[in-house]
Amino acid sequence: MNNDAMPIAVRVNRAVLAAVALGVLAPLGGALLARRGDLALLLALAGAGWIAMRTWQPAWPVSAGALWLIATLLVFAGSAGVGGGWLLVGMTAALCAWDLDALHAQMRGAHIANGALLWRLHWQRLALVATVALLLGGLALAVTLRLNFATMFVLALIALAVAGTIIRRLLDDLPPD
Amino acid sequence: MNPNADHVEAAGRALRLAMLAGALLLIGLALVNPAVSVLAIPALVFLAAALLRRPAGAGTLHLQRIVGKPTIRSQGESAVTLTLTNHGDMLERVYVSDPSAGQLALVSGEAQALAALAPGATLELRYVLRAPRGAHPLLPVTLVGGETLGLFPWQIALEDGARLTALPEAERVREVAIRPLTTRGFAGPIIARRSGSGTDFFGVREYRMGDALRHVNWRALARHGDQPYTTEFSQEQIADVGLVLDVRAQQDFVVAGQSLLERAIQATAGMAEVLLAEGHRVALLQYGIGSYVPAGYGRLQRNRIFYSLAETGSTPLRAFYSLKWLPTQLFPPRSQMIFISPLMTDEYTMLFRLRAVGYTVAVVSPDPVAFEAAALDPRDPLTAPAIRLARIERQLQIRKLQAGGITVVNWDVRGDLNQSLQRVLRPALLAPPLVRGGR
Repeated sequence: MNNDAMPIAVRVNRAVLAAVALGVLAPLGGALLARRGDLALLLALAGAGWIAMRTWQPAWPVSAGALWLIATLLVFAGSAGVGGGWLLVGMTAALCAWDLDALHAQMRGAHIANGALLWRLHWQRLALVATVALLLGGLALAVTLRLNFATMFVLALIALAVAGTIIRRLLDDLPPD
Repeated sequence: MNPNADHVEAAGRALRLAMLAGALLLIGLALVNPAVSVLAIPALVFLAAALLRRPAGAGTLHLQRIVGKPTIRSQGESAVTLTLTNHGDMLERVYVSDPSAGQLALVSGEAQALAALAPGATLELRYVLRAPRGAHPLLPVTLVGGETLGLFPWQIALEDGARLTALPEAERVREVAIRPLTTRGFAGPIIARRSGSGTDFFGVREYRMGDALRHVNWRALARHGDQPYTTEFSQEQIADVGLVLDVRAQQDFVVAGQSLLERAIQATAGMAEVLLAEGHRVALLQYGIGSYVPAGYGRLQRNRIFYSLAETGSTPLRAFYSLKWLPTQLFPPRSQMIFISPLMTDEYTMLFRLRAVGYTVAVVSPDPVAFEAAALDPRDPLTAPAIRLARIERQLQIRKLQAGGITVVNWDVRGDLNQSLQRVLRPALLAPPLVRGGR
């Protein structure tokens, strides 16, 4: 790694740590406010584990597993009455950490050319996406819709169809073994 | 990093993200809990943003790989320059990698890079590769790119047909003393056993009109007094030499990562070099892969032989399992043949047959016993008797060949080939010729 690339990699690494911290601390705060110390403890352990595993650098994708773990804990937190806003911030930050960690992994061991431009483009796009996600999520939390069972059923079918289409396209994109 | 794995990983990331969004949505709907359903929104926004910025491919990228020295010596180094130019829109993230650096040895520089390329910008990678003997087609350069979030990558492998050929190291040989039964009509180093313009004494005959005065034998004139005599010199000519390198799998022998075949190749290269430098017409047959370099002279032939040796390797082809299928018609009758083989199997009837039909046969044999003995544990009580038995067996084999009129150079590969050749081939030259005359 050349000299001008080193600060970029370090900067990305710090951004990952900050995002992990935010992804854990936001729902943790919500859990504490909802008096769910057990959930807060689990979230703290998940965050510490994520950071520790990143340092260890095992062969399997740590961040993907950590993201799923955090998401699972957020679902439990949502069911336990933790405020939706905390969870939304936690989920968005966890996704940012997952994305930044992938960038950091790609930087590891490679020469980085135009590192400043690469990093600027990345964080600008990420910040935009995170802001949009928070705004849309916040809007969805603020708006209250009363749906009957039939509407719910139709919406669920639409959601399944959209998710199925996306998954099928992504599977088609995977290169053959 | 393996770009292919990176591509699979990146595509897998998008899939995992879609599955996460779907799962959160379904769980939220099932629990009728809006706080859980809303968790799917960030994941969906990430996916949508990546889909919107999904690039079509790398159509506007121009990549060039220049190999500084396409031909090097074995374990030599060659500088490679990889230039990637973006002729299209802003490329937010591209990973370029030359997998050849993993296949060969990367000595210095960077053979993989991650970059953002502005329109018209160029990324240049300079690195130095080291290659062992062989013809190495360089692997296609891999480009993995995509939008900033890296969820929908494209990957291309650019094949440019670049090659790096590492020629074998030639053993240092100063002379290969040979004496075939026939020579060719051009001046060279082999005494042709007929009078001519050489330097070695051939005989004395009566003076004829036109003989140079400096060749008049004054002693003979003084002794006989009646008529002058002329001293004749032996003509020196070049010869046809056929090198036969035994590359059959059963003759290859690897000990501690070192191959005996590699040393045989180096010996062949050294002998070819010196024989061609002396002006001989040299052909090379690699028995085992059927590779044949027809007879030729000079530097061009040297290059042909070296390139052929660069590509060689042992092979278990059944067609060449036995020596009895050696295609003798490739070599001129009564010429010199040098068979390079460790003699690890006892089936050399063909060599005797060659000798019988008039070829002058010499065997240069890298010694497999000494080669393996050097790697054995001397503290093992079985080592010493085992080596002794193997040496006895080899000596018997060599004597059998020598008894058949074949000159055998038993070369301990830890030592100097030149000395081994001098020790055996020089005395062989002093033996009386079996047949007189030349072509």
